[in-house]
Amino acid sequence: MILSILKRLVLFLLCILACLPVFLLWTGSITGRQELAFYLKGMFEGQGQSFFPLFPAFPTLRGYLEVLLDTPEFYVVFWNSVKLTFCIAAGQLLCSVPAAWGFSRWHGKLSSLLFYLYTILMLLPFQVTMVSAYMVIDRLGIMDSHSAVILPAVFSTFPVFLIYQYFIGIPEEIFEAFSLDSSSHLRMFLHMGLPLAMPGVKAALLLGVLEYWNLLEQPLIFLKTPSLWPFSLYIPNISQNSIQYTFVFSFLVLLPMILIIFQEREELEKGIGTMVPKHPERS
Amino acid sequence: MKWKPLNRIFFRNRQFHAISVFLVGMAVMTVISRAADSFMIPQVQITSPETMKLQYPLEIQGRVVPENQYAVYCPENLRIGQVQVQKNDIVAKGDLLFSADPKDLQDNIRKTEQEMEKLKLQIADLKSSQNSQTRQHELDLNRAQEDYDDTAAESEAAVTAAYLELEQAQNELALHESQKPEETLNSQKSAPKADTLNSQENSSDSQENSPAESSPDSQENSPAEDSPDSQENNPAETESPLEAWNRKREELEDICREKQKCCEEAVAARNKSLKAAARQIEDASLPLTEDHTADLLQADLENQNRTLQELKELSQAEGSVYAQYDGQILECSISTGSITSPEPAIILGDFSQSFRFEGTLNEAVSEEDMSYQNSSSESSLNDTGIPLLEENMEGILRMQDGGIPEKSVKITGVSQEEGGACRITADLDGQEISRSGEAVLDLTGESRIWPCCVPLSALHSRESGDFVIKVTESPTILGLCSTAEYVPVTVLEKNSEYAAVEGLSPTDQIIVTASKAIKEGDRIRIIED
Repeated sequence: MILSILKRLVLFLLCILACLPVFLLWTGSITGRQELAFYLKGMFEGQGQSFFPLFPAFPTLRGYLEVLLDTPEFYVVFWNSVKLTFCIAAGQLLCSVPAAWGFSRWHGKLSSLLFYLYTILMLLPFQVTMVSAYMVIDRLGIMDSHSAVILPAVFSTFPVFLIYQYFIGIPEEIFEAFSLDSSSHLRMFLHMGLPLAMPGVKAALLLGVLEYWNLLEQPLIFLKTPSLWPFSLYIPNISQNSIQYTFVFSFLVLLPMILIIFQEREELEKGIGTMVPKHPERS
Repeated sequence: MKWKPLNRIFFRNRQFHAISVFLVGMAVMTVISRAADSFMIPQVQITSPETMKLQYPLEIQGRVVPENQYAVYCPENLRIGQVQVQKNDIVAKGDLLFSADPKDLQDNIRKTEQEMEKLKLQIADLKSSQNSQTRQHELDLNRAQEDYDDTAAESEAAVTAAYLELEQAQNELALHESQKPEETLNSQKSAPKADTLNSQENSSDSQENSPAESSPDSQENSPAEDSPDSQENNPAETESPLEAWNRKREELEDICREKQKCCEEAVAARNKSLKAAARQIEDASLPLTEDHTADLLQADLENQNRTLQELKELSQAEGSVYAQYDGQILECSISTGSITSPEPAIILGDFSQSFRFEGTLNEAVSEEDMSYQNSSSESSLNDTGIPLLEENMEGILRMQDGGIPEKSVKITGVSQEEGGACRITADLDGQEISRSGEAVLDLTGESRIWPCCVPLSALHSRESGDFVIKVTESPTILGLCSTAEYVPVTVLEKNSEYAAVEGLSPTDQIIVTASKAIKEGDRIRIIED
């Protein structure tokens, strides 16, 4: 009993520790500008000590008011991020689900080779493929446009890998039974494969949204025009005088992800849980 | 394809609603934020620099005066009994202008006559004095000449006498030379030969030595030789004829030398006395100092005579002065009881001739604007801020009393006065002006053509100098936006509306007015006129 209480207490403390950055973000967003400048004096001036209170002495919503009403730039970068995330997620949905279906339904040497290549590509970080991606994007003439960020991300290998794990987990008998009614592969994909692999698709979609909402490196390299930037590039441009904006801004762009995670937590857990390999031949 | 089941699969209603509500909320806030931003952003009006001439509207205060003006004078130091006119009065020919006090006039006539008498007496005295001085001068000169002649005669006689004595002594010496005795004995020959040789040597020595040295020796030796005691004591050395001849010859030579010396002294004395007498003549023949006092007094006398004539003429007119022309009193420097001066008593404008405008322009541009003129060598303003006015410039003439409608006139004369002021004249030939009065001439001075002129409302100043705010297109988070950029400029010239500047391109767009203060880099919203 005591052990159980201790475990719970430790876990609770760990939870608090994990949530502390978000809490401090919120605290900073309702702290006045002068107060923040005083607290973070050491960080900006290079001398003295910076500290952060758990709650401000004079909480204010002025920062929210100014960001939401007086800062149209916030909405530009917000909607740029929404646009990039939505387009990438939709593109991945259109590309990765049929690709994963194909890999799961057709077995052969070429298919296996391609899948291995996919796996290797998935393991390569962006820094490795950056130069080649830059050259391809430049040759395509889509540099300094949202397409330069969206197109490479649409053909990401990770969602294919994730959804593939779901497709191969579906018993073969189900597809054989369906083939007695219809010989169409498209119908089988739409009416059997897709509904049965929907948790994996949703998990891939959620993970993709979480990844691309915070996209930083690709916009930094491919987007030069400020009006195309997502919020991840705009936040570092906020100066010392507008440090309060940084907190408000960060908290506001965190909100949609908090909403998604809270509401899709079960699906996410389920999808991540299926990432255990289930195809002995390929693994 | 059935999308409804797919929707149900992908998004449960509750989840979709939360996300969609958030996004819709953000969309609404986006619109509100943009609307608020459009109110907050400075709204500006812009323009481009123009190529133009800067214009300086000038208002020159002056007067319309008759072309011909006449001065009415009055004799000096006369008390004015009555003045019938004052400045700006219109008078007709024959009108009484002023009159002198009759008693003072008579007193002046008497005083003038007395002055004339005094002058005449002074002139007579001066002339008498000059005559006596001239006579004395002539007398002195004659006396000096006579003295010179006497001195010349006396000195010449002394010189002639000295020369005669010298000639006589020389004649005696020559005679003595011709009477030289002959030698008789051999012994006597040898001794005299030796003596002769000695004497020749002595004579040669004496000729070589100066006479002063030789004569004392001969004098020392001769008494011993000539004395009777020596002859008695030494009979063997008794004087021979040759020796006596030689001694005599030496005596005569001494006499000749003395006479020669007397001649030279007589000549020197003559020259000295003649030189002194000649100087006396030179001193006496120096001209007398010219004295023009009499001429000056004569001139004064003539002036007094003219003054007397004027006073008498004025007296005949009972001291009254009348106008000679129809016109206007432009200046009147006299008043009742005042004393007249050499200046004109009245200046009368002649209405029968044409009129002209006369005005003076002192300053046209403020000192603040003048500070820009120093930096430009091509400024259209002079050192005192007056635009460069030229002849034949046209302007509008307005009479200040409004009696005559506005007229277009041309400048006929521009002259610079002391202090930098500019005097303007404009002939009004052919204009329907029949009287003088205060008037204003409206002119528009123009500068050279400046390639880059901006409105003054677009020109700003700060510590580092003047600047304008240029509109530039800058990439921002909101896209390509118009932003403000401070551009430093050099003001070359400016008037009350525009400034000619350096540092801008004619294609630039600059902010003329703004709804609020603009900082460098601020986004702006351009509104149409």
